[in-house]
Amino acid sequence: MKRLILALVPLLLSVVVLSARAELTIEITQGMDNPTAIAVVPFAWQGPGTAPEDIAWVVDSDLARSGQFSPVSRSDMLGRPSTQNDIFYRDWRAIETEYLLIGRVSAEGTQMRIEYELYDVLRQKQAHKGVEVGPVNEARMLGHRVSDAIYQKLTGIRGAFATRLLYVSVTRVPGANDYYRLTLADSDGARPIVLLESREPVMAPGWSPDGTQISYVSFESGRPAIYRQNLSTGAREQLTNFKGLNGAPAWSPDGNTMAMVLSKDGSPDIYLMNLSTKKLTRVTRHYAIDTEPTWMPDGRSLLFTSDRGGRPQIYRYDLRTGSTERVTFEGGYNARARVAQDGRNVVLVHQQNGQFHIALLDLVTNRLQVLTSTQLDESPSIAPNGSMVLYATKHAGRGILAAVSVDGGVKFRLPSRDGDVREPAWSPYMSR
Amino acid sequence: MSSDSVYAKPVAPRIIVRPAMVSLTLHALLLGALTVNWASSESEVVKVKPVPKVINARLVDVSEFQPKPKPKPRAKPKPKTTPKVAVSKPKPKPVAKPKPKPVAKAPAKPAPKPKAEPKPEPRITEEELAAITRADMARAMAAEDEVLEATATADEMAASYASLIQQTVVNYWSRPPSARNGMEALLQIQLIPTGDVVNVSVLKSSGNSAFDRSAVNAVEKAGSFPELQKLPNREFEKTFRRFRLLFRPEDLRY
Repeated sequence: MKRLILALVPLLLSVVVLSARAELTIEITQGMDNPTAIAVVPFAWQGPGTAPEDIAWVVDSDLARSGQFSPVSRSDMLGRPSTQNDIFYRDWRAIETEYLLIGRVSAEGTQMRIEYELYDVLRQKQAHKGVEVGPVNEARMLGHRVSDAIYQKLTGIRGAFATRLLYVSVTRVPGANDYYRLTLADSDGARPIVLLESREPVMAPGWSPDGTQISYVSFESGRPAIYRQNLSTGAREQLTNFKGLNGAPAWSPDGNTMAMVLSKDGSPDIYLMNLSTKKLTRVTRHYAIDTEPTWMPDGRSLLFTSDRGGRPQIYRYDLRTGSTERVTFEGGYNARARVAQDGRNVVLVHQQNGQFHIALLDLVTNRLQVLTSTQLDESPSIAPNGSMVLYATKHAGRGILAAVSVDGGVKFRLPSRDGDVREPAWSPYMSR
Repeated sequence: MSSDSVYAKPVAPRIIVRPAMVSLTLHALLLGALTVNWASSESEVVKVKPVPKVINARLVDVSEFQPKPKPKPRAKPKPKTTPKVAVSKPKPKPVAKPKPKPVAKAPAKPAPKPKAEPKPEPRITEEELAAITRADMARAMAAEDEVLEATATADEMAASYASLIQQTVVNYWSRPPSARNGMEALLQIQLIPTGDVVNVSVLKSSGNSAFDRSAVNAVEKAGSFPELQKLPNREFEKTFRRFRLLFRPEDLRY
């Protein structure tokens, strides 16, 4: 009886609620996901002579490279407004532009000032505006920051254009030792700066979580050793000098610990070094090869590559419980994992039909998706916003850097100077 | 537990509970009936779902029919054409319960109503009752068919235009990379009889402004649904002058 009464109450309520909602609702559960059409109008230069840098072009190229935008060609622009009053929305709607970015650039002494405004062509109103100020010689970085703001506004994801890359390039010298260079460049490959040049191998560059320091392995002393280097002061510190292998340094998310591979006690195993006390803690203890450690973003576990099962696969070590579990099961070769900041997407090298590709593993669904179709892809490194993966591959017999979006939809190659380029490392977000 | 005794439980006397139950049930039914009737007279209530083919009736034994005191809310039919067209909520249908047409020609044997009439009424004979029931039923059915046919046409028309709007918007909807399956943005769209969109507003945000904007942009980019000019004015006013679009992606990677 009572149950019946209770059952009737919601019935009565629902009748009332339903009759109050009478309007037709059409449900949309699919989309086409075309890139957003945006016109980046050349910014007006308000200084003497010509502008030191075409900021709008930097932004245009950034947005195009993301694959999320299709910038309008400058030759299709029916006008070049630089202030709100100059905008004729009709002109932009006619060429099916959804957003319009205009701006003005001025310089005072060594300081550059970029004012920019984003307009929504469909709704004919301002969507965003901002100002970037910085040294003139950092003009491109200021442009990347404009790109970041626009990207975040329109995609809902933080932009990662104002970030940097580290990579190693090797120049073959016939009859002599090769030249190894450790290079720092903008996220678009522009403005390369050589940080280290050596006749001995340089390997495994990586970043401190705040982006102020880097780590790498150099053979300059005749055998591998791990170094860290401050980017602004250039100060350098040798962290290890053990017998055997010293490799694959990986900074913990809090910046206090470095995971590394040492073979001083036998086969290569994972160790943790406290960066202030230099005290070592052994993490894995296995006769197989354990290598390529990388941290989960919460700092509570490590992923690493091990051939303890016969073939290289990714394993996860829980730092609290000390337990190890296998993570990859698809295919006979999965190695060199890197985790996105969401702690869910893992990029790795995956072998399929004898070829090495970059693949994305979703730790929640355990789905593995191959992202690349080239055959000698290696060293994936994921952007701090998780949108793109940078990796090394071969093109025309030469090592180059390429990038692919995490959905596999966008691919591009980064320009690089001569030599074989390898081991890219995408920086974290840079503090200003 | 042994300490649990029936006397410990407050038991409502049956004399109160049962009449209360009956009263509540009757009120519920009455309210339901009133709402249904009210809704059917209220022209805003629109069912967009394609109406199931009520014509392909099976032969039904009359005994299956319990004369109902009032038209019962019809079960919500599954959309036939596209699974994405949906009405605001399963709504008690104003349309009468579909009855198979050939009932009138059904076996002429008396239609007894075994459960409804357990004891014979002294004043009316069984044949008379059957005759009355049959006649009533035939009359009711004819009326219902008429209503049903008109409603079906209007509904089908509304459904096909709703599906057209849906497909157009789908073609213009580019989701931002931050979009996730299950996000929901509810928009209200206002049209004028030329099919032009005159207003788009967000009724319920997804919480992700880029997602909301992508939904609004999809409608703005579509801009106009000129096919709606073919719609009779009454149908336009009833359904498409103002309607809602629920953006809820299901086809994203996650």
